[in-house]
Amino acid sequence: MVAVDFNGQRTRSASRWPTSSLVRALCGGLALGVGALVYWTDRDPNKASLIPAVAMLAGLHLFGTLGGWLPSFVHPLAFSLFSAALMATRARSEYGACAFWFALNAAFEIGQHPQVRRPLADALRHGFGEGPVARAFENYFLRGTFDLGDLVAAALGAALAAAVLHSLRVHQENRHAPQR
Amino acid sequence: MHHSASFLRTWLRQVALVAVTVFGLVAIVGSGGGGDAANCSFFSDVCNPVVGGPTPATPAASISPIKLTVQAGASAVFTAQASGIDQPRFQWRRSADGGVTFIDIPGATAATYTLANVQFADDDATFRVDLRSSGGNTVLASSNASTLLVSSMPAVAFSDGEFDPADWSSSAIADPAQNGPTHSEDRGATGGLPGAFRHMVHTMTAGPSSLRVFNTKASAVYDPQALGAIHAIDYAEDCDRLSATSSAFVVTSYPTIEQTGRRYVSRLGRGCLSLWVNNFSQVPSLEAGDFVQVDGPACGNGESCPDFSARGAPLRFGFERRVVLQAGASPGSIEHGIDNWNVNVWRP
Repeated sequence: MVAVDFNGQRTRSASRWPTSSLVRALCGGLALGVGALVYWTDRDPNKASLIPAVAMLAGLHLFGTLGGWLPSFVHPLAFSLFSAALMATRARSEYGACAFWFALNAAFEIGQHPQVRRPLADALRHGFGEGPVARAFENYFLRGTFDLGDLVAAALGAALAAAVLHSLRVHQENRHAPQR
Repeated sequence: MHHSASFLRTWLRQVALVAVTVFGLVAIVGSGGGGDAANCSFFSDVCNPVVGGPTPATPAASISPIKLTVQAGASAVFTAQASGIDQPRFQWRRSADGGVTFIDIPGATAATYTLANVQFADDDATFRVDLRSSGGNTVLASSNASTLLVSSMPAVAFSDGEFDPADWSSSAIADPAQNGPTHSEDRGATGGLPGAFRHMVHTMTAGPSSLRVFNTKASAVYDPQALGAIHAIDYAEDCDRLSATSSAFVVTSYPTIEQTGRRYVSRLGRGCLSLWVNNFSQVPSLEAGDFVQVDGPACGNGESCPDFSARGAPLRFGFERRVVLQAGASPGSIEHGIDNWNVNVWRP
């Protein structure tokens, strides 16, 4: 059976692309869930404004020292998988998504480096004025702390995403290979 | 038909990709930088401490503000912070004898204590919080004490966010005496919080050196003989360390008073951040004893310096910017600013 997939490309089965996308999205959601758990159990809920506090989990401290770097690991992992779920099924695009999310995480981390943050904040102020969003970014760069461990964690997260995508691809190719 | 369905799918996919990218971006910065140890929220001007992770071995507690003045009938709110303990159990305590003895306040076991409908009888009451073990009454730590002052009428307020140069004057002392430090002040029309601010540049000789510049607002005059004695003064400002040739500069800001040719500076000051943060530098409930004379005629026997009584001469308010260049640092300059300068004068 020949069908047109979500990308307008011809595939062997109409259900092939959506199923593989769902698996990628589920893996991403799982990773993001672990990341949210760090904020629920190990951190002050006021710190992450997008994650509502769950009182029964507060103070459980499930992750210990690892909790410090886990979000940096989870962000490129989860969002690479989400992006791959929505992108063309070409391997190059999927690995490109991993590289993109690592680069984005790395750029924000490097923006907190003591030698970078002040000129960056000044540039933001000149470029975007003093609106709430510009001030929030200024706060982020000036008040954050550059941590090499975060960069390493982001690289590991992106690498794991690439590995997951590779193994899913191999699995799918084996599944759809002609039977003898 | 088939072509339009394919186009719709492609369009939906692109919209979803943009949504995921925006969500990812917000997640990265909204979490304060992933694993960022500085614990600052994208949405908050003030950094919050992390809960969890390695905790100090010794439990400790503190309460804020360190002093508080409110008008009778209003509410007084104190907040406790604990460290070195995962699940602190607070017990608020009150003293009626200046902090010599404290008794428990029944039911006051939350991190925040609110005394509603404050009465004159609460004037000079002292509060502190004890950290207790979760199972018993063992006191693990006691906080600093905080004093409540009560006023019978609203505060007299002086403020400035425009900083007309004609209304402000500056003069400096180099402490210790040095040759070379200079300072300049002007009005920045934009770049404050928001808009105009007072812009200052201190140029320093090689460290260690320091320069104290007193800035006084000509129109910020309080006359105790006309308006009544002073119970306490609340001071607030926003301070931004704009740029510096070296990180060895330290800038602090202090409330000041001028009275009968004498200048006084508060013992309590606040450091400057590298950005504008609204209402960050607050020095609450300053009393006469919190000010130290800097220059002018010596204080005579039996004289109150400064004199906050109803017989006192007019006082003029301002602020001091103290810049210190640490030992070994090269000569250089620092640029800093003040905005939203506020003085509230509370009467008994």
